[in-house]
Amino acid sequence: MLVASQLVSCAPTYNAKLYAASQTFDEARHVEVFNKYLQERIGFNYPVMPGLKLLLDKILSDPRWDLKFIGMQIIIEGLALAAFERQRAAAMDPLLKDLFYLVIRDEARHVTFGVNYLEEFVQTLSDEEKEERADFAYEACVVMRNRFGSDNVMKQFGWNVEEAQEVLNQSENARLFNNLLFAKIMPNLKRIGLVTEKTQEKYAEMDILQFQDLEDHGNIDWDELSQPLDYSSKTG
Amino acid sequence: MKIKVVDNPPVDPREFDLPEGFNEGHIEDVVEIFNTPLIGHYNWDYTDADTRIKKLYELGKKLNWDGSIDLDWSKAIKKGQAPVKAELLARMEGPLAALPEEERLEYLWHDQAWGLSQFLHGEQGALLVASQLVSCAPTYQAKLYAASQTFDEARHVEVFARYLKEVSGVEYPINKNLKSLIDKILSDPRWDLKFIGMQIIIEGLALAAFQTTKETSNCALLRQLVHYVIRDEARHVTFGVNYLEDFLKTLTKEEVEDRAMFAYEACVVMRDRIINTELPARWFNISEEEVRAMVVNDESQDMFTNLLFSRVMPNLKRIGLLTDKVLPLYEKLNLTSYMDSDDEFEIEWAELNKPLETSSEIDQQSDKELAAHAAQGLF
Repeated sequence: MLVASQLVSCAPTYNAKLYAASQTFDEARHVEVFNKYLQERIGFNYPVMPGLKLLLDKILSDPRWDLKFIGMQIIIEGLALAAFERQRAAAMDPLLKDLFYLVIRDEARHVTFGVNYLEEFVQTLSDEEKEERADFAYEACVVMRNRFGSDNVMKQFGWNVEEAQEVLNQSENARLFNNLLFAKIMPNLKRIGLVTEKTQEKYAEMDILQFQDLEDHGNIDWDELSQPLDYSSKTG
Repeated sequence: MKIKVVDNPPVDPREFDLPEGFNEGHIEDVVEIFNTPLIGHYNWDYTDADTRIKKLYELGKKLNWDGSIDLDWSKAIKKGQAPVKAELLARMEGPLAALPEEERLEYLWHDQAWGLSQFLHGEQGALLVASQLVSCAPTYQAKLYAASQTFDEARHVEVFARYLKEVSGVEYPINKNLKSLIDKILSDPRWDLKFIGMQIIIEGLALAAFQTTKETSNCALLRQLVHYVIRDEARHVTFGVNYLEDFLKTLTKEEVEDRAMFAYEACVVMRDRIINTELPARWFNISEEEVRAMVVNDESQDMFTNLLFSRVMPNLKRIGLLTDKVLPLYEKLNLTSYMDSDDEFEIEWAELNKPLETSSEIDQQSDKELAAHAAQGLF
């Protein structure tokens, strides 16, 4: 919500400003419903995890708007889509399933917007500027990988955080989630032109380069995006 | 994507003689950079209570109209028709009355386009400020509220821009005084100052100006459009007053005086200057000073200026910014007529909560309100 609101000021084109304003309001409604679910249904919440905070700090305080945009619309929204889809599939509570369904509908629009806008914008940058953005995206991917253990939860249960993190990283669950995550991020990075020759090698070392050839969010399925909301039947 | 960076806003009106098959390839966005030292706040306490701010946020969600669906664009007036109601045309005097009918009609269309263009640019300012507030506002509920307002302002920009393009066919650049005030607001690091400037002064003036448009316009579409905008703005001003009232109490006396002075200076910039002197000067080939002299000496104009400040003054008083130091300054400006009216003091929830009115309900209100103001010697 904070980043989307900053994009209203920073985005240089008329349509993007209006779009960012609508996204700002979407994000506020997401904050609202997650908060309500935590307070009313679960009864407690956890502080922000350090990896996520690090990335948010970087994005919020960087003066370059397109970098905010890449970090937010491609990396963090990609993460959100992966996490929400997994949570929705795993959730037992029909309310939570509906909540995820509705949020995912919005996020899919946000990612589509990001990919289409950035694809055009990145083309206007010099090679050097492009390489800077590509490095930033790569570093964000490194932060995202294997950093999403819940150290608070581990502490809460009296585990050694480093050991527990290691176990988590080696787990099948973590591998599946990483796959899901980078399947959302890599094709979009490729589409907007940020998987450069230089970063390609690094992604290969991370063993996530292969995901770049999956389908990206740049091809807009307007029918899908404009379907009326129909969550009751989607909870299954 | 083509983006042209300029140092200043354009000066000439823009006619929308768009080429056949106009598409995104034709668009070159024209941008002017502003820098703002934004001091943002994460808020980590999400506890929520049923406050006035929360209720306003809920209303914002519920009354989210869509300009593409809820406005009837087929009801726009055509170029041969007068943009203002017939009874106002009949009362017209001065150089305008002396013009041949066809030219007078053309002038009135341009005059309206000039005013709507200032609404449009003001709404863009509001959009930018509201969005900054999402980062700057320190409390959870205010952040959510500001996000809903950001989206409201985007929809206002959208509908005014569309009206100018499709109905008026011409758009005027931003008035230099409005621009200097928005510049000041956008680039000041103190969020509450942004808030006072935008939410109390610019939005307050806008609310009164929209109300005038709703009363005097001859176009059913425009009356409906500004009425829906007014419904949103009424919520925004209510939020501004309630939030600032609480916040300003946390400031030292010196800090409050700073804010009071800022508000006064903003009012000075806006008084006399929000009147369109640019267009008459252009049209009748006289200086803006001459136009201003004519307008300012006019008694009904004085009433009109006070009417424009009728929302601003009581709200400044309510939030504690009419201090002993600045009050005499306002008296000198002759702006205190509406200071003690308590229009906005009690939140009228029933009023804010009403479903959106239909076009014909709005037309009835428009005629009634115009008659009431005409009886007081306005317009």
